[in-house]
Amino acid sequence: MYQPQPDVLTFLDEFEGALNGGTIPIRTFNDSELHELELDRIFTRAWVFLGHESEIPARGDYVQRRIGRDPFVLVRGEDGEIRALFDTCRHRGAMVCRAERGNAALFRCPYHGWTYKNTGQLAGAPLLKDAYGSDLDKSKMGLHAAPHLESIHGFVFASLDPDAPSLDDYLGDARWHLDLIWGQYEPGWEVVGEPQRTVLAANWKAPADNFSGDDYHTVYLHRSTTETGIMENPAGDAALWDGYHVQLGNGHHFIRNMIPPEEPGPRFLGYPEEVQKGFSPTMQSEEQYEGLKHTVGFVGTVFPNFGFLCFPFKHDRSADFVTAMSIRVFEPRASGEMVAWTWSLCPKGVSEEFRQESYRTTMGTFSAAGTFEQDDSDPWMSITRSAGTTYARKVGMQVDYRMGMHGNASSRRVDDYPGPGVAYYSVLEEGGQRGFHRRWLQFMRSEDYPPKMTPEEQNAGAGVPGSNGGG
Amino acid sequence: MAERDTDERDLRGEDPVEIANEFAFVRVRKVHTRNGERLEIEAPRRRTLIRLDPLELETIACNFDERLLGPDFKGSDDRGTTENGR
Repeated sequence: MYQPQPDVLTFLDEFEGALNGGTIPIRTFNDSELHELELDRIFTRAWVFLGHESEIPARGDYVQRRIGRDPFVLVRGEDGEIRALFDTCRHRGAMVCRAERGNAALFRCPYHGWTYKNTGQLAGAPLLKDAYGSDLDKSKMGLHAAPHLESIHGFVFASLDPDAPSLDDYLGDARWHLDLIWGQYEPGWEVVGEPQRTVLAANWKAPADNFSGDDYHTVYLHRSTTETGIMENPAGDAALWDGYHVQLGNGHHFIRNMIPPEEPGPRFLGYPEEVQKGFSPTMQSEEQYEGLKHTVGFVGTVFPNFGFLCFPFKHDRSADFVTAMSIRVFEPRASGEMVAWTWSLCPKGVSEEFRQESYRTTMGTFSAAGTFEQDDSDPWMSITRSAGTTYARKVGMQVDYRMGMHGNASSRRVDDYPGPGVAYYSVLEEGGQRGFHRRWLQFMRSEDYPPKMTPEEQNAGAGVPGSNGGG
Repeated sequence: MAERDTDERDLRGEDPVEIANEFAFVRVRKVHTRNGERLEIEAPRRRTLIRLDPLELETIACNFDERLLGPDFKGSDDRGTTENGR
């Protein structure tokens, strides 16, 4: 097991004290020792999103994915089962998968020619009998596979820790929200095209933090999209900050913009009629059906690095609103480098015209060429730059996450949120981001698999209205 | 942009060619999965179907052997060949 440096352990103690007071040492966003510990204690344990089943519909279809920095092949075997195979030959360790996606019944290592079935089993090797006699038991020399792999509504997650809880337990109240979004459309969902990937000189936690409830930045950073007429608020007069922040436990978070039933505005995320009729009132609870009907948009995260976002957007000023759903992974590469992944997800069975428009709108907003992504990636990179400076480390620079603590803001904890979790209304508060960093801290300090974190524990330190002289 | 999600039982493919003599009849075509391609060999009379990837085909080309003609030949060892079994 990777042993953290004493300096890192001291830092984590300081981190907790700071977080309880509403700040975070900026060093967390760019430090190579912390990053090594993250790879060991977060990415080899957490359930990590790898891909969607619709990316590999046929036997032998595969895509290359990463868990932390480690390469895995997500493949549907000849037996129809999906596995995450560690892309490393059992003989000498060379990579056996030579493309980012493809279809193969067999993977053959380029070094000595050991050949594996797409179920991971060793099928054969050159000169096998002459070279090994009977010493090589093929049944014991298959590719390593992630010990846990589960799918929910086609979303495939894996954990490398044999002691990991089930995906359901790991998701906590995020499960209810995944059911809300993807468990009520009868034809199901599918990925359009290939995921787009962008290498950014940023720490992976900068976007993970952003997706965990940073609505505040939309008012300023993304102002240009409204000024130029590319974006408008599809909910009409309602303010952009009119919505819920919901802490879901285990570090997961959901931002949900809802429209009152009496308002005529968009229904079912603003999807067109052809899609709306595919939502079924009987697949989940009535609360979830009515809830989705009145949801305009959402931004969700599953700890550590999976995000998803859906709103009706315009891809240019003359276009109509088109609902765009993007699936995101913030892949860590180094303390100061990451890969931003974007998949476009679309309801199955829709017209080709809508499919193309939705894809175009997703890519026009949250991809390398997207308006929002270009806005966002600049501060993500500059935070990372600042975090790596000698000065910031020398003075122990803190960044501020106090918004909404102690009830000192307009946002209030509410008990009428139509769903599980600890909810706040409006979105002008930073509890979701504090919760993300609290779960991060718990993983980083735990030598064993960290225990469950309830929504209340995730929200620890938020305080009560008036406890800090305000509210 | 990639093709749409495909039902595996009905993969998109090229026009088939039929090869027949007095002993056997097969229908062969190249099929496209979402991420790649295979050669599909269908034996309609025996109600069987197999989709072979290039490495399997190369192996057949390199190692063709009379043992392949045995009545129990089912491609590589764990591959079912009936349409329902695959």
